[in-house]
Amino acid sequence: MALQGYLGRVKIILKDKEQKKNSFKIIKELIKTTIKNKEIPTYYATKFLYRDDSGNYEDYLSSSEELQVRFSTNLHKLEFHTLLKNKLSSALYFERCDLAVPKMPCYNIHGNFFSADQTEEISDLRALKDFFTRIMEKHQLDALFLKELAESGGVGCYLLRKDELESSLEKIGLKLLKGSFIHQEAVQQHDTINAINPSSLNTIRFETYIDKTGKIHIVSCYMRFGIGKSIVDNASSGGFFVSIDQESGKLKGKGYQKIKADGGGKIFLVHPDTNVTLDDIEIPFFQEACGLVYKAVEYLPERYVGWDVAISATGPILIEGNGSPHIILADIAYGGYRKHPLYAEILEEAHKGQKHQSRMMFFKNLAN
Amino acid sequence: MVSYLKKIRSIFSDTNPRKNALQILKEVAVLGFRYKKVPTYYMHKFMYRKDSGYYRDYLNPQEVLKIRFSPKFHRIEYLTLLKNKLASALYFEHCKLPVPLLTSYNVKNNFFSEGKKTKIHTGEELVQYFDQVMQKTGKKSLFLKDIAESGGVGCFLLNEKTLESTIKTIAPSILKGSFIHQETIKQHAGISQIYNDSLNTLRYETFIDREGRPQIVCVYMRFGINGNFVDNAFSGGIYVSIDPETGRFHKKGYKKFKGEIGAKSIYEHPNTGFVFENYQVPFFKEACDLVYECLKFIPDRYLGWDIAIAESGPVLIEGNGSPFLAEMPYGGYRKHKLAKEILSELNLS
Repeated sequence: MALQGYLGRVKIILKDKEQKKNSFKIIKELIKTTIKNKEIPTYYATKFLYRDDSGNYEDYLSSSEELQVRFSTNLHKLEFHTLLKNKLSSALYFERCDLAVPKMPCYNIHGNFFSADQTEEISDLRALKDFFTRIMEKHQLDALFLKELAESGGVGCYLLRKDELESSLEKIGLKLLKGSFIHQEAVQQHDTINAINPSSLNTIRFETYIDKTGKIHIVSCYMRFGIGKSIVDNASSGGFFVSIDQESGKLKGKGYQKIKADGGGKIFLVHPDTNVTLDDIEIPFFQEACGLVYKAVEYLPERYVGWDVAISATGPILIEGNGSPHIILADIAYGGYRKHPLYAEILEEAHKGQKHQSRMMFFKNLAN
Repeated sequence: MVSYLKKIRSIFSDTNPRKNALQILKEVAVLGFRYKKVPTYYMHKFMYRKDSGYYRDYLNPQEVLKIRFSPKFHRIEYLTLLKNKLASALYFEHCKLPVPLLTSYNVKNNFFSEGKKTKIHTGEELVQYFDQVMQKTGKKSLFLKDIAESGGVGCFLLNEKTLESTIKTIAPSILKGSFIHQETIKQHAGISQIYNDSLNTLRYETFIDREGRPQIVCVYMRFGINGNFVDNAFSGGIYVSIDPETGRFHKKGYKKFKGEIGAKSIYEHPNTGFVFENYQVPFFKEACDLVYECLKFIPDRYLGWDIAIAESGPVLIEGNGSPFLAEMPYGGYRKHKLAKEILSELNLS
């Protein structure tokens, strides 16, 4: 399976129409990186380092460095990791922090459905439809966004529209009753973002770091966009990402799609569905979004976190935090994290602690 | 090495009748060969004792870990919810389960109570804060628990009368950490007479079988000793197993094997002299019912539940997503009537 994945990626690289480095250079860089990092540099492909415009390949983090930053005991605590990993836990906590978050009128753990006024047991689709109809009417909502409690990468997300409730529940109702989901209001995103891609809620991923003096930094940020009819923007669900210039709050350069075994690796100058040019678009409420992220870190003072922020018509909204964010996309968007002025310290701090041993950090569910 | 030697020495000071040396050597060798490691669990589980049962009925540490962390039995949404005491406290409030009142909590300097947030930076501010919380809620004491610790670690007891002096000692830990602050439970007089300095809790291990039926695998009660205000075995406490059918204590109590003091038989509480055998736990049936109710809200397949017995009935203290398996009272897990199903699901024979 792993071999199939590697071969799939190699095929995509061979088909890549972008300007590539010459073969000799690629081989030389691969050998040098292997010797230096003492690991097979699979990230050379996934970070597009074979492309001519990727910059200095030595500026990019190795896979083991990424893991060290993501799981170092000096940067991550179990209490914050568990709070962020569980979407119900973080939603319940963030509600109490007065952060701008989507309203959560209800949630369910298997057949137990919780709303402000009651807890009820639901076991069939008819009762499920009645429940959501009642909630949507009570809160005057046209749609609810459902997210499975411990999934990530856009997996386990469903959009329930009031006018398609019955047909949607026929498809996903049993999954809902067997699983555990938070049910949040669907955020109405800002027109500027909607104009780029209206099918999904497109979010900014901020990576934050608390330095050794306790100062909070935004390390980098980029914006994710869904494509096609996808209701999620995650790169692992087929979306793409564009770097953001932190000074100006504008999209910068081109969009990258993650390389996967079965596709991806595309470059976007315009959104493929709307043809809107990405470069130089000013993100509304960008400074406010940065302010929201700083506030979120104050309430959840984990030293290295990825925060997903949406831009609504009235301002930024915190969608979720990620306790051990995948750094690969930020590394690509930044053009190599090693040249980031903060990253030498981040790596030094990450290496001051072992990688977490707790199974809780790495536990994965069997397939649903 | 020193610790191993101390443990071996403690075996010889154990007053319980032991298997003969040849048998112990043979069993250690067989287990070492099968387990491919030094079977230190042979000591920890008191398997050298004559009355410990058949040595191969016990699980080795790898098998225990499989039960505690197998994705077949556990889901990450439940593990994370239970591992984080703040998250579970907030959730259990929604479930309307009988739980201790969460008066307040803090995440480092951010303090939350009654929908209000406060930033606290000094010990003086902290004293003032807890004083106000106690006055508003009418509670004379509070129990603070680190939100991601376990085994009784990171627990502090605050009393109205000694608030200032206690805070002076613990303020740095509180302000740098994250804690839930709960009312203290006045436990049932019947339990208090056994040991009064800690809240002594029943530990239930539960299993949801293939057909979705919840089962109580075992139940035992933990007690603190020597003035300790926590009952956990990891913090020096003792435990006595209970007949799940009747709610009565078995004869013998256990203490986690630790250095020289572990290997002793306990038939009565070491501080009060209360004899364990046949003691009927008050509200036992209600406690079992509460555990079944809890499982409706956290339907993970293998869990540990800590239940206190208050004057008016059982109270859920917390759930444990990957509980430590107590198999000594049963003479080995493989002998348990549910073991066949539990082990076969994990391909353990």
